[in-house]
Amino acid sequence: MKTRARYYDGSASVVSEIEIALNDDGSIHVLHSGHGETYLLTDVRFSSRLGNTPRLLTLPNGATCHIVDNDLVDAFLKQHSAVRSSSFIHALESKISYVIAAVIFTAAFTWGMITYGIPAMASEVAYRLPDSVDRSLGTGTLETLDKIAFEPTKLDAAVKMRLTKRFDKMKQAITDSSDYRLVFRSGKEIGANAFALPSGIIIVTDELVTISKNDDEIVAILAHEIGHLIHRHSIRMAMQNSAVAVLIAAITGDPFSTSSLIVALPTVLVNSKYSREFETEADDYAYQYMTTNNIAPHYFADILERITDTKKESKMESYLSSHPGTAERVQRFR
Amino acid sequence: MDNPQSGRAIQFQFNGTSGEYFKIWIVNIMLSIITLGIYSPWAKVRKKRYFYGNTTLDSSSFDYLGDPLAILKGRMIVFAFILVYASTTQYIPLLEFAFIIIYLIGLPWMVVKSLQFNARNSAYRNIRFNFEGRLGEATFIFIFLSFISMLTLGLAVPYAIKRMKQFTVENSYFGTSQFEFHATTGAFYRIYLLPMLIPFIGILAAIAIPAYQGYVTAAKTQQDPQHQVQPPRETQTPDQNGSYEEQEFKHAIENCVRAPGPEQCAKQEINQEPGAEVFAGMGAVLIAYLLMGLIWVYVHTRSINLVLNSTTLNAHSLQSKIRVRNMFYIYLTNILGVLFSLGLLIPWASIRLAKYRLANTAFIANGEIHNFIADQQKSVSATGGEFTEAFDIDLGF
Repeated sequence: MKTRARYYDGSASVVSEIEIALNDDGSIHVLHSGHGETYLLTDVRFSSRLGNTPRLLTLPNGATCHIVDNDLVDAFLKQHSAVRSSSFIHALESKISYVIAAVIFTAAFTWGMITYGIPAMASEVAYRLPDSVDRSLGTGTLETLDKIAFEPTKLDAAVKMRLTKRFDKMKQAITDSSDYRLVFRSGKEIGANAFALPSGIIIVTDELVTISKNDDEIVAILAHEIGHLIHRHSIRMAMQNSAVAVLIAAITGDPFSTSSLIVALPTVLVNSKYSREFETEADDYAYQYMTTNNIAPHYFADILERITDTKKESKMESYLSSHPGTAERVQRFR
Repeated sequence: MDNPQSGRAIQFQFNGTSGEYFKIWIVNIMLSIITLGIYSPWAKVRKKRYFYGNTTLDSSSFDYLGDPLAILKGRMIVFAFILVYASTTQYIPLLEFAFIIIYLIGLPWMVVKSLQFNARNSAYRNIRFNFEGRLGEATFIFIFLSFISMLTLGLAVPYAIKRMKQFTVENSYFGTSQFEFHATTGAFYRIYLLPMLIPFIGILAAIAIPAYQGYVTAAKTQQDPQHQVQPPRETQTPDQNGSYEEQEFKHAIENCVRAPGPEQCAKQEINQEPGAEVFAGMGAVLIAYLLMGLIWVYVHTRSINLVLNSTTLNAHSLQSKIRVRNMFYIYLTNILGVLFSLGLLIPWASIRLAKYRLANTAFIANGEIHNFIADQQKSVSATGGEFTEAFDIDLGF
């Protein structure tokens, strides 16, 4: 079998068009500028096949050849059983069924990691970490929020006292709750809402207290926030989000440099999915707390609906939203 | 073979196809997953070989000769380094300081080694490239100039970038021939002029808008004698809600809808139909992204052209004529394609970018191009290369 090749001697950037004979006895005959030389297959090195890029043949004297006819080289190597393990990879790359299998495998792996693997690993790690890690995450958060989002509370001191008492009673039921603290703030644009900071601080806005019809409704919201703290949602969220970013970056690879946006959008989608799962978990805690303490669960639904009342949810939002749909949440407490 | 002609432009060509590369790409990913990442150096080499092997100049293709095992070794060292860092600094905070020092000293070394590994494993017509940058100069550029850039609030960035490119080009060899770099510092400043003006405009806006809002609020306060600025203390006696607060409060209730979660409300604007504000917000974010992307593409494109057009090799030179609008179109459609295909179009995106760039890059041969002489050289460990990758310092040449 003869084929044309481009010959580079390795000392200068000269190229010569030559002829190479791949003989049946396994020897390789290189005919170069009038004189030929014969090599044994064991003395030369063929690069592994990669698509249809030219095959690089390295000769013992350091010269190289580019051979375009990949199939011919493959047939020759196969005939003399010099097929290397790397040709297995080319086999994977060239069969459409393997390629489809690879796509399915990769998609399934990515989906599995995002849905089960990463959340499972994050909670495994989070529950083993000492509380101090959570606390350190939340240092200074309240101070920052006070500067940018909140104003001092204008609630009646008696109201605050009453609610704090209820909160202290809730704390007693939980071990390791010594850091839990309830604070009140005027929410300004934030409006009726409540937040749990990883440092153990739960913020309730004046507006939330104002729209509540009784203290049990506030207790329901507090139970939900305590649920966030008990289940270590802040640290799990931080771990899961960074794990997803790493996973997507690792899978998509680096061929382009503008990967930041490409990584950003799926990450945002996945993050809000995680966030919704955490909200459900916190709702579970609230539900459980209320039923074991003889508080009718519908109080949670009531206040949630009142907060949501003026707002209709668009479809788009439910994908991007950090919270599950209110109707869905309310349903569980009715 | 070559037809020596004075100043003839030899076009680079890229022959890779999306379909072919897709198969290589997906098999790379699958094998990397199955082997828990151990295969990734082989995947990287295959990818590089594919792009080199499909790049031709004067009918000869390039060769990438990097050894996956060397890269694997490098990655393992990086991994061990990160592991030691992560497991010790948590218990001995002082070590963090030591690691920063090691990193600062090690960074220039890593840059030099990675450029060297990449150059020495790249070949054209069986002549290898080489890189011989000095550690001292690398330290000056990557440590000292970086600090200067920070101290001057970015004003020195174009100069630092120029020195980086110069360092990369001037210390590169093809065989025994050394590349030369002729770009001026002024040319780099001209590229960065526009992006540097934007933060300036942003700062102006940041001062002007709150000032205007403050003015409006002040005007309102004057009309409303009940409104008083509260010192930020929780213990303050509660104040009766004046009409202004009431209004604010109503707005807040209307617009902040769901308990609990701070992001929700922060994103929303006041006085719009529910749902509409979400789209308005998304639109604003989109426009901001597009603008940022446009600026990035502008700087990226013009830098590539400047660097390549200022590079010579013996009597020969390079020519790059890529255009900002074409590059922006390619990047934009690439991103959209990749997003809507859930990543499956990544190979297509990479291939068309390479195609466009190489179709607009030429080697201007002044005389014969077959008299480059090979140089003797040693092999270089891949550690440098992997360090820079793991720590994400992209030199972007």
